[in-house]
Amino acid sequence: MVIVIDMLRQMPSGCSSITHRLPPEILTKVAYHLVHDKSLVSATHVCRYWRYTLLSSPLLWSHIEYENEGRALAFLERSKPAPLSISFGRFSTTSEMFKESLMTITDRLIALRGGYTPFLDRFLTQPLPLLQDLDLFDSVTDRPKAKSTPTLPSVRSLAARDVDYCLLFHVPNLTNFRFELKHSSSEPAPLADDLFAFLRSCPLLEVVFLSCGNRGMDMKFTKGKEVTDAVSLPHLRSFTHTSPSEIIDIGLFDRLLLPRTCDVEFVVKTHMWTFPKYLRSWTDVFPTPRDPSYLSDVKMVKTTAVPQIQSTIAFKAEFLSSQNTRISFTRISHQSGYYLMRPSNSTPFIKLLDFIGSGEIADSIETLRFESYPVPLNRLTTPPDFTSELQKFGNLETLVLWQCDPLVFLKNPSPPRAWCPAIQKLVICLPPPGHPLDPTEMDILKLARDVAVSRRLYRTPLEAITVVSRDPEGLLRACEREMEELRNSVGSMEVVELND
Amino acid sequence: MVLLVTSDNKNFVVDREVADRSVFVKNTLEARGLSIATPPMLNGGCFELTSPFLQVLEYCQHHRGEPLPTTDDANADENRKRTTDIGEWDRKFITVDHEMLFEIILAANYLDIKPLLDVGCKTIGNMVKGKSPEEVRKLFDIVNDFTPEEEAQIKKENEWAEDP
Repeated sequence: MVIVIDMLRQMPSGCSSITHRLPPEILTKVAYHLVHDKSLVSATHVCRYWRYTLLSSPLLWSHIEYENEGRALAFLERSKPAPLSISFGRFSTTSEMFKESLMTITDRLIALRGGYTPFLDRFLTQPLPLLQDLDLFDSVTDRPKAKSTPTLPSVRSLAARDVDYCLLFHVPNLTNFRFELKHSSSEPAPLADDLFAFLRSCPLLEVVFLSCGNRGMDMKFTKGKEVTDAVSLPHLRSFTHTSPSEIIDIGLFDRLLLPRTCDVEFVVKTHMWTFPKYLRSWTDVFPTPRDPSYLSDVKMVKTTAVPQIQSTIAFKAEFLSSQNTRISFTRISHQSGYYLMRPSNSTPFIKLLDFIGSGEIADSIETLRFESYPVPLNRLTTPPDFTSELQKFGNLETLVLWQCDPLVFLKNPSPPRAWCPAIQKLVICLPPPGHPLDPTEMDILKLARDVAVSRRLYRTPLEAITVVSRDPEGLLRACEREMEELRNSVGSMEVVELND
Repeated sequence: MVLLVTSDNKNFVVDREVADRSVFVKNTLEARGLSIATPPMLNGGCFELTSPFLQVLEYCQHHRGEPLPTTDDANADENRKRTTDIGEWDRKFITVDHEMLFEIILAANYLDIKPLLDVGCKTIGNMVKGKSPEEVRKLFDIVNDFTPEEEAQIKKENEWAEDP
């Protein structure tokens, strides 16, 4: 700071730039927004005032993302004596000189991210009194052969991707743990033995995120090594387990003692048509499968085209007791979206609607979304019990028809009032031009008249329609009169461009 | 209501809730039990005071009632500094000429309105981002005043600074 003050004294009085009115502390604040950008170094090349102000602020230089030796060594020097966060690229090889320099700053390191290499394996055995965040990933080209079991008492957050060895670290004060392990279907499913032993050694954990398993199965214990005593995590606030398989072994996690207030989320990837099978597996676990209180939030996300549609099903839950197998799901989301996969293959969907609609949860759903995919028009049929299922959603306010023929949903057998008594907003994303489901002018006209009739005769509260189109201007040009009629049929109508 | 008097003797009567967006004004009023703060602006006559103060008042009016940053938020400061996102209203608000932008920043600093100071600093940061030193000098009318020795040092730094 002395340098800066000296600089200010030397500053020519005729200096006219308005930036020189900024005191050093504000210029430094500005530079904080450049910390992860090459512009930080450029800023020191602007003028003497900028240069000496920024070079006098060690914190600005304390986030080191290793790109080359010169840059990293300069940042190490400029950051003295500030605490350091250091990150290595996945494939970068750090220079020997930088590695030597790292050995001299072990008392300043607060965060470290890098591939788990032999060097890092040795480095972690050094005393690292300030290290709080450790983020490791598998270094594909340089895996350590001899692995250490470091003790890292100051580490609060540990993230490991494909570094299963981290489960042997001693991190007694860990509060945040993220563990991801990918296995191909040819490899055996990951073992839960080490994981549970690790969790047992971290009693202060507050957040746990696990993503392991292969496409065939979830983690499992080695036979004969099952955890018999429950693992207590009394401070846990959030527990998430994602499995790439269709099955989560709930019994596995029943061995965790979690507080009542902990958010629990299981995410399973499955195909839509296997959903009933999946539900049965949950039914096996939960004694009251029709209890609407335990199903809270269902999201299905289209990831690829038909037929490889994958859905993600997330349940949020509140664990009631420890070794007791009873698990109660009580958190009810007020917004859920459902994607209709293919109308011609909608049986699982109807079962899902029936399942969700058969209780109090139906009243909490305010938004419903349907998605259709390119299928021949003659296969697009509305299941006979579809509209009756929808009537269960008495508080439905927003209906989203995404890339499907809106008329299929709005025409007979039931008028809109019958199945959407509370609906206020309709969002329609039209199929691409030229698609078999691409509506004609007549379709738009019919939609407009249906809506107008529905509002007039049945007093539906529909107030707004949003039409999402790939070519809004073209649509308005082609259907000017029909769109005007649609506009007149509701209080608010807008046409917006589809943003992929 | 609170009467704020700028150092160029302009009076502004504002709601207490609006005045309290400034930690400086809030603390001053609480410490002295007054309803008049004078003068809340920088002294020295460097700036046209009323103009930036009107802008600052507009900001405080818009954000009235929002929770003020607490000590706990200090930890979040670091993260906030790293993001360059600015809300839509704030972005429009801060789209002013350079002179006014810097005066707003100085006023926010003096009045201790951290969110406004943050918006101002982010805005300048975004202006600088991706620009060469020469472009930054041109943007803010800065004279290159490096000595030949410093120029040599900078040239040396460029060898690693520009290496990907």
